[in-house]
Amino acid sequence: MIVRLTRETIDLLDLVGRVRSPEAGAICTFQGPVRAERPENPLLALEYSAYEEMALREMEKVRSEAMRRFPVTEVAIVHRLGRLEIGEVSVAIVVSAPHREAAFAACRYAIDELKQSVPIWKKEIWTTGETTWVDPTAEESDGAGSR
Amino acid sequence: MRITVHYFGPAADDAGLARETIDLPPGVVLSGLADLLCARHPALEHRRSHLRFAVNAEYAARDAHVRDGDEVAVIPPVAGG
Repeated sequence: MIVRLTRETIDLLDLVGRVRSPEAGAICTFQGPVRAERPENPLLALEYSAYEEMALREMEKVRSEAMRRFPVTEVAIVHRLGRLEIGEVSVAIVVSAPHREAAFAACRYAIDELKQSVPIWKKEIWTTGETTWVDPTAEESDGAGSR
Repeated sequence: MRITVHYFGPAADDAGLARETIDLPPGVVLSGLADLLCARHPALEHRRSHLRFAVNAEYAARDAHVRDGDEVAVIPPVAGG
């Protein structure tokens, strides 16, 4: 499936294979790996959860809107759920298009939209044993672990 | 009428549960339901202005009416990616 949630490692090459097409002269990929945070009190992992039924619907909307707005051939969107260690990929977007401009633009659009609309949440698990929900509406701060 | 409310992410921690069924008088809209849910679970109050709601797995406006049998989801700010 071209839009899905998974609890297993995302196979990027498999996704690339799914969007390939004879008329696609460009394939653009975006991967979002879990980033290390705060060397003085390192992040251990992120725990992702979702309203799965709705998340799939919203991901499907992102895909169809990306295909409506940009002259692209195919858009694949996969998001991980469950616990991910630093460096593991939580989300992958793969876009094929006849030409690269549309592939880059649609890929960027899809990841930006996904972050706005798809009901997925993540909890930071710190080496201290603390856990904190990531809140994108909170001001950027290095004090998140103190909550 | 009776609805099911689902809490997700940090809202589930605040409410202390993932779902509950609630009996409502007819004519309730989502903003009224938000008042009621914050009264039931005061820990939700601090994120009230950031909450979105979904009815039957679709985002819904705060003036949308709630109907018998609806599945209402409390959606705190999403954090995918």
